[in-house]
Parts: sequence; C-alpha cells; structure tokens
Amino acid sequence: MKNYETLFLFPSDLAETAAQKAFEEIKKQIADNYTGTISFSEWWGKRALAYKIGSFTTGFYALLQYSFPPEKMVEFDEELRLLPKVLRFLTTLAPEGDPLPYSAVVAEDRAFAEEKSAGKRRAKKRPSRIENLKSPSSSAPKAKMAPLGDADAEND
Amino acid sequence: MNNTPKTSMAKVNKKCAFCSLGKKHIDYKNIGLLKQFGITFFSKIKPRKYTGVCLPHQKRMSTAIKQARFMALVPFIK
Repeated sequence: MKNYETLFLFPSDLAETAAQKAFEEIKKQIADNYTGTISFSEWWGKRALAYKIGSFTTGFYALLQYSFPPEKMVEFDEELRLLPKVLRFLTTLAPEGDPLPYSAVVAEDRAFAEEKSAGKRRAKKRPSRIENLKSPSSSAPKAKMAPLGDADAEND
Repeated sequence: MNNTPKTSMAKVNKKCAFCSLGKKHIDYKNIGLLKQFGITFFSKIKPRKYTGVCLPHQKRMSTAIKQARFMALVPFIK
C-alpha cells in the first residue's frame, strides 16, 4: 500500500450536488473495490479555470488522499479516465506531512496578489478586511471597546 | 610585476530559498508560491539564473508548475 493524492476537476455543467455525488462514488469505489483507505478529502468548490477547457471556464475541484495498492493503480487510472463526469484528474504520490488545505491555497494566492498591488501603490494600502476580522482589537474604530475589556480583566 | 587583480563583475552568491527553509517537496497546489518564484507575468517558467534556486529544487518546481498547468490552476500563457 502506498499513499497517493488525487486532485479531481469536475465540469461545471453538473450541479454542485451531482458533482459531489460523483466524488462520493469514487471514494466508495476506492474503499470497496480496491481495499484502499481514505485519509483526507476536501471539497474545494467552484473555481475559475486558468484557461478554457472545451467550453468550460469554471469547474469544481476536490482533493483526495488515500492509501492504495500500487499494482492496481494502472487499472484504477484507466477507470477514472473513462468516467464522463470527471473533466480532469491528477494522481501523485502524497507528500509527507499534513495535506495543504484549500484555505491555505487561497490565502497564499491572495497574499501574492496583495503584495503585487502594494508594490505599485504603496501609499494607498490599507489593512484588509480579513485582517480586521482576525484581530479586532488592533483596528482603530474598535479602540473604544478596549477599556471595557481591561475593566473586565481587572475584575477577574 | 603585474599584481593588479583582474577587474570582473562581483559574484553574488544567492542562497536557495527552499534549502534555507528546509523544504524538500514543492506542492503544485501552492499557487502563490509558484507565482512568486517560478513564473513570470506571462506565466513562463523562470530560469534558474533569476529564481536563485538550486538545481534539484528548480527541477521539482518546474514539474510542479507543469502539473499546476495541467489542472488549470496556472495558465500556460497569458
């Protein structure tokens, strides 16, 4: 048994529930037909494609990590290729350590875009809304709330 | 007689960013990282001269970019 990782891309002409159903079926197949065990699965949701594939500009992504008998991988690959509900898929050996969640993928992409825009117009840069949500005490308008919090701390 | 050293461009020894972080594997799903290091604005793979990454990591990164391209996470050309 080896640890594999597959990223699936489902076409966007399917409804999201239908695509999720197809994903569940694949998971079931791994467990039932090939005696594999699934260690991690994540539904990425709808995402814009970097380029057009056929007529599709968007697609549903889903990530799966599982252990699988390597001698049956060719057979399984062929089976996935024949599925009409899967637009594309890529199987690689799973990297050591924790799998990269989708939130990290999005955050890194956004951080890069922000860095780029900050370089162009540094003067106009303001703290982003997400940062404010994460640490409300640091933002300026909520400074009035701080004394209340301090008072509570003193009472405790 | 001629003891003056040869005038040449000063060599800048860049350190590999992945080696200094201790990263072995480069994930193709890590799009921000690939955009930052590996590809230009037109989404071409940057040569090692510009990335300053050691050869093993450069090879891994270029395969990661190609995998990301196949899964439509990163464009082939812009």
